[in-house]
Amino acid sequence: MDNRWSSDWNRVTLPLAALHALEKESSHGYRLLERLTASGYPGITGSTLYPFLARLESQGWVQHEWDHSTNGPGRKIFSVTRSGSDHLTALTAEWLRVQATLNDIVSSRGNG
Amino acid sequence: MKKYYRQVAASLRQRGVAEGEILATLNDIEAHSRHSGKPLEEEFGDATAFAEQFPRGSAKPAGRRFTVIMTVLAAVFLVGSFVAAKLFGTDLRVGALSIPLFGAVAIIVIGTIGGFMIDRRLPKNFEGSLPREY
Repeated sequence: MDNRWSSDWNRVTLPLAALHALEKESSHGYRLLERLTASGYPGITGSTLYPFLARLESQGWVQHEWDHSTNGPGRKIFSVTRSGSDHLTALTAEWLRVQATLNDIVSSRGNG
Repeated sequence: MKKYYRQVAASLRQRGVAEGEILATLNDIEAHSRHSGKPLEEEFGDATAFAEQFPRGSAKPAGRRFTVIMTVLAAVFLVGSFVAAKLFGTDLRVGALSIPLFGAVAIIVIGTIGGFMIDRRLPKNFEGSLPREY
């Protein structure tokens, strides 16, 4: 199955997808990308992900802790903040409304 | 590869990103690239374009500060030379006293090049080639 979609969709839906994934499990950047890709979310690369995480952090929706459990420099483990969780709740409700509206519009196509 | 890190670091400094964040970002992309097995350019694209996607910060880059200080020094040096020339009734444009003019230009050039080099340095403690498990 071709699961690619236009990058416009990524721009709009990445906050919802990433916050959901991070709320479920705190991750470092590469692991988050792997999880999103494994869920069928296409087209995310490092060039998109790290600036995006920095923006989420500057908005206070995501925070990081240092993980020094491996060799070499520490890694950032990202997790959702309380305010990020509230934002995710609002985004999810909004997404469900968008989805319902678009489903109605799309399903009426060809019905006259 | 170090050139790529230097470009990212310089561009992030120009955006006012704090040194700690720059170090963390370089560590992240180094680890990411190591894990994915893809070269930095392929994974993250053009270094400047990549850095420009990060939110702006409020840190003042050390290189820019150095350039400003050197330019101010050059201006003070030049004004001082003009005042001295006026007092002693000499012409700054000729003879030994033309040195201040070239001196001021030299200070500005050193300040500009030095500032550029300072902002392109890799962050302290960045070990871009350390082996590690990821």
